[in-house]
Amino acid sequence: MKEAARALVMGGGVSGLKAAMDLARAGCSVFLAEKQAVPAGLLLGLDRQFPSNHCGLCRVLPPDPSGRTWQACMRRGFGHPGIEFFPGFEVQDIQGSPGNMSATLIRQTLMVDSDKCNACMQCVEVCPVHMPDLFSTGQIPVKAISRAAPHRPPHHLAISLEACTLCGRCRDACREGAIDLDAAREEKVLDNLDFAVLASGVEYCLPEVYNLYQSAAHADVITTLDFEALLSSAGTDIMRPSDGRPVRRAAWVQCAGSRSLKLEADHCSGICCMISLKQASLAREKDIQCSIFYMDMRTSGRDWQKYLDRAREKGVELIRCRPHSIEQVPEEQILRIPHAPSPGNQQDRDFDLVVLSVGRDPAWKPPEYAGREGVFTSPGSRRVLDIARSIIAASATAATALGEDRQESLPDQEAKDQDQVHSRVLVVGAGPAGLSAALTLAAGNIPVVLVEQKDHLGGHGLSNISPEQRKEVQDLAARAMEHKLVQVYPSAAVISCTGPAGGFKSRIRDSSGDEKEILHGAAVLATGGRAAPVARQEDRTADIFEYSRRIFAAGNSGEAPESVIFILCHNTRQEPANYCSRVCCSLALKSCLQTLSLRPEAEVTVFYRDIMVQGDDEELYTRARSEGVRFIPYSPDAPPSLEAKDGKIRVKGSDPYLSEESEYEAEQLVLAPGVVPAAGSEMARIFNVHSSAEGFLCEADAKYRPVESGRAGIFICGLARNPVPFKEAVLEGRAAAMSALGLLKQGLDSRLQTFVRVKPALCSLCGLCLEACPFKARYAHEETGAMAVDPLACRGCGACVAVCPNKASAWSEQLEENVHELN
Amino acid sequence: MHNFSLIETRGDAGKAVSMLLARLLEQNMVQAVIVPAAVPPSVLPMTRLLNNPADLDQTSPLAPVAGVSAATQAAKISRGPQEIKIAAVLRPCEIRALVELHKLNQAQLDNLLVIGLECPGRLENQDYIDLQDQNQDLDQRFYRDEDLQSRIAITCRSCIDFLPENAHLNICVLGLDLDQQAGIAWDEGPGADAARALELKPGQEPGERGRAVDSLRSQRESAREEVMSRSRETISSSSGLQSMIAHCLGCFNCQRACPVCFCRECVCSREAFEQNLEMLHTRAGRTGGIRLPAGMTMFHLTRLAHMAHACVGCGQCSSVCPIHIPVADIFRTVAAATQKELDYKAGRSPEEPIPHLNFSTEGDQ
Amino acid sequence: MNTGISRPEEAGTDNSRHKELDVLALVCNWCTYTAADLAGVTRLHYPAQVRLIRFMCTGMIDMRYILSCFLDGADGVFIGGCHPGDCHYLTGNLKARVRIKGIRPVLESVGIPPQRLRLEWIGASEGKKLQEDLTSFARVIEQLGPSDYKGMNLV
Ligand code: SF4
Ligand code: SF4
Ligand code: SF4
Ligand code: FES
Repeated sequence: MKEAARALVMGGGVSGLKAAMDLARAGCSVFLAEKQAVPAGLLLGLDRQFPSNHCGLCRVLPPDPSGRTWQACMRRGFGHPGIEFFPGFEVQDIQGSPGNMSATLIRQTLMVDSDKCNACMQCVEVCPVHMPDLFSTGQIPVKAISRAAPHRPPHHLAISLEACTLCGRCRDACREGAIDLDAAREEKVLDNLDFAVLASGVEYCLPEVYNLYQSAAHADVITTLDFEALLSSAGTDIMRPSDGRPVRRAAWVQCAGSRSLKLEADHCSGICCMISLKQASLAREKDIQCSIFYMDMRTSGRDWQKYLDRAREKGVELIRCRPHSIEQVPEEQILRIPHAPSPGNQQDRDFDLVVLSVGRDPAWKPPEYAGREGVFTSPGSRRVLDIARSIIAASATAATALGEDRQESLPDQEAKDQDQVHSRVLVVGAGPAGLSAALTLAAGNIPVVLVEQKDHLGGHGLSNISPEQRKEVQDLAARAMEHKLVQVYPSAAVISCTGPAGGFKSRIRDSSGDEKEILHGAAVLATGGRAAPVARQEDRTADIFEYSRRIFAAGNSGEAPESVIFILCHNTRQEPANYCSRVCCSLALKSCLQTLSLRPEAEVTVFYRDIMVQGDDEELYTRARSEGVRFIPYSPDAPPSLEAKDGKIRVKGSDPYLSEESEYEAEQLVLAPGVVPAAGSEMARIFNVHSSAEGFLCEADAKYRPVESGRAGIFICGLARNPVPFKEAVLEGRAAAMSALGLLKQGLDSRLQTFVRVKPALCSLCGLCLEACPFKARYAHEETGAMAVDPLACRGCGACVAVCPNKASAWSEQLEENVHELN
Repeated sequence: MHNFSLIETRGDAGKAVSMLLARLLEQNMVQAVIVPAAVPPSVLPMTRLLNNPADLDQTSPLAPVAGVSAATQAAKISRGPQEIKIAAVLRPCEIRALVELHKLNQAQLDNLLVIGLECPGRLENQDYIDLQDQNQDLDQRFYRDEDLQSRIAITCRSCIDFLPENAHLNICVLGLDLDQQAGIAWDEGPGADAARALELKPGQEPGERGRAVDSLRSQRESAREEVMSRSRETISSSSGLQSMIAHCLGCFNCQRACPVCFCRECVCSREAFEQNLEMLHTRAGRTGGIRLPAGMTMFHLTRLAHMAHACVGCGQCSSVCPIHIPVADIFRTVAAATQKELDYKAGRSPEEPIPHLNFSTEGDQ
Repeated sequence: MNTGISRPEEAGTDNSRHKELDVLALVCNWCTYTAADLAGVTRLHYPAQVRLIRFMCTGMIDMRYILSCFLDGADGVFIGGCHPGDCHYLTGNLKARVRIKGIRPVLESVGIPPQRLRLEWIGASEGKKLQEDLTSFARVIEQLGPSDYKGMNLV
């Protein structure tokens, strides 16, 4: 058997950390390079993140009763027994082929020897190079040599080699000899690597570089990244950078550096709308007037539309207009934004502070070695992703890398089934997410039981619309059917699932009513979603999925109607289905373009609220507009009205910006009602996990543990969890599989340790601990009724110990001492 | 309760009630009965489990004494097999304790037919034995003899919760001439089923009952106010509290007698033996050395912290204390403050969740 | 629990021990303790009589720990946890909150005024809030003076 795979992960931000920890849990030896002195990347300065407005980075850390894994805020440091961490290093080049790759790491940040340093700060005093203060406490000057990170103890200093001139003054000033400048040129070479994962994120657009607004050089025109520092709860009030006066009125200008043909940035950065909404909502709490200038509010996740509604309730003002300039009014020391909320209606608005909502740097490209064989690039290193999607993408990329490495290091399963831990995984649902999960697990040598309600694999058909995608789905289905480790149960359903993680017992019922019991260690729920039903009075109406399927079916020789009207967000993005389904807009744009390519003279009209296309799909929008598709915005308070007349559909809509009524007629009406989860609440009941009011399965932590349900060992992915396009469903499936695989690997490890134990002689079975445990790690044993702890679910919070009056619930023996020492 | 019926007692109310219990067994409404009974040569009625109707005439359901709180026993027995339904004659404080125990998974209320007894108070065990010597028909006389009533346990003298709540069937004694009649009250549900089996006819509730209850309550309320304010004052300083706790023998009787202290073995009783010697020596070096067995203040405070929300005010802890520490006074005083703060009342309703398990995000600290 | 209040070398020196007020801060490892580091970095000092004791989560703070602190002679007990929603273990801080609510009346009844026990939410970046909260708490304790239980040598 081959030794554990050697994997290099580049980037110690949230993606890199997640990929590294997943790989380590799957048994690889991992090397993690991060150019800063501490992990966490962008999150170092990001205290509050949407949609919860909290940080929670530490939740990616695996619980570890042995105490060998770092268990504290990662902004203070990082340590993991399976990961060799190289803080301060960046990968310069990667050579060789998989299995025999070597990477050259060069220093980017030089650390001061913290054992010697006594925090006298002489070095900082003498350093001549001043740096922008990213963390805004303003208490200590920021120089090329500075504290490694604000949350680090004071004797942890670091030198940024990007800024450092190697003048040597700090070294001379240090009486402890803690500074070794020669190490600045240090290089490390890592050999014999099996593969590498690039997860270092993207660069953000700097307004000065692109001269975005002429006033961008003004001190009170800042970026969202800068504003984050102002917001950081370390400070109290938000002050103007120029004169330190408190900010009373602030504006956010969206799409700074994105969605611009002039800058060759025909992309949407995807998360800037949410960032601005968050910043404005938080600024509202400090009683600042907040206005956001935007083109489309792209609140395109399950919970984001509701977040927008809350922001509005808090008094954040939304102005639909892309300002052409930001003017300085020196006499009044304010910034003025002239804009036209409706044609001919010129207005000026004055602000103390203007925040440019920046996204991906248009010129940014991944490093050259990203394209080499054996280097796997996380999608988060191609485009900007929010935290949950970064985490999913990182896990999925780790899974792909492992899969291609064929993971001989993972245990040969059936043989390894232990008393309490079964190595099999139950996957429910065989759509894109479920199939990807099954194949990822099978590639990791884990036997899979794949249960599908339909008689065929491939899902509910939302994703096999375009010919390419249909082929991809068919391909996944065929591979799953063939794989010897995947046991497929079509026309069957899971009816119950009991037991703790690692030892689940589920019953499956097939169409003839026969039942079968399956023992499994984990489960992946991927029951998908389907088109929301539309009330259809006229037969000239189709939903977006039908229409697209039809128009793509005939290939390039098909027929298209001579006129078609799309109504997007039909009965969705408002209660009770208050979320964006994420697939309709781009599907609609593709259909518009296909319609026009089949029938160039066709008249195509789109009624929309916000066009939600992200990343490079923005190009579709640009093309659709240039090819003459008519886009008419509407507001949900006054949706377009429909009427059937003489075999045609007549749509009357009022454009809130032009404030005029307009009427259009078409042969075909296409409605986009969005998607709904197919079996969410039912699955939630059977598997005892939570689901939202809309029926989406809920995760343990929306940002940091997105594919884990609240019940250990049950993973959720794809449309069953949240509205996702095909590609993301695949990623989620892989990420869920990767988490399941890691859990089983941990469970099969015979040295299973636990944080807590139950002393049965003292336990009076009161069940208080059952109620107190936030992770459902407590259960009454099925047969004996005795209280037990599920070691795979327990995260060691100690709530059960505190709640047990009798201390029948106790820390494990090895922890007991620590806890007392600690106390 | 909505329905009320008078039963003839013919000079022995205890016997009349026993007969009803026997009927419940005969009619197979229940398969067992929990009721106090003194089995000769003993004179002190103790909780007894019976399932033979013929044995019922030996029991004393109205005896003004509670050997130990019957709640603990009723709770334990109720966790038995589903098919066995048990009628349990319980005092109001015992029912409250039962309700608390149910929330802690220590009782299976569905298996019980709870028969509540209106309680003018109970005598201490020793007093009962002594008085029994002088009064042949003590159980019957107690209810008409104010002198006897004035000898009830000290905690009972200031108890205001003397009417049973959450029972299926109540045995009513207040404002009635027990030599003639006793009352039975019930609501819809299992109580009504039992009343039907006993062929009780709903009738008019005598008006004297209301007056008797009111006058007892006002008398008790002023007594309670006095006791509580005295005890509030005493324990509100470390020395006052110590003046009581310093005598504690560490016998753990109070904890064992407490009907809501449900732990198999008190964590403090274990700790008293597992004291860290090094720590004791360190403390011994401080002024005055250290009192042994150590941990008694911690014991009482722990019990308060764990159980003040659940204290039902039965007074058993005071009754069993060999050194006559007014444990129940301390407890009831702290419990009143705690239950007020938590907006909770011990034993009020089986549905009311335990306040310590309310982890809602609402509100501020 | 060993709160570290009585150091053996102090024993016997009697009154000297009573002059200094002891404030114990039982803080959560994830947020408040990080904030304490941050406070250290930014040179925000908190009062010297405060002793920080780290817990993985405020949800593991047994009511008995609070009792021992006071019996051991603490003049004030401060509990610092993550903001609601931030707890690393989801709801530990809310458990702490209800426990404190329940134990306050007990303490108050036995002569420990409720102001001697304080719960605050302090996020990882709120070094400043940590400093402010601890300082104001220490000030309150100073006004209240030594606890009634100080020096009683009770366990
Ligand atoms: S809280 Fe303690 S006594 Fe109650 S069930 Fe849990 S371990 Fe047993
Ligand atoms: S409550 Fe107990 S069993 Fe549950 S996670 Fe916390 S320590 Fe583990
Ligand atoms: S019964 Fe009395 S002596 Fe015994 S432990 Fe309780 S208070 Fe102390
Ligand atoms: S982790 Fe901070 S309070 Fe629970």
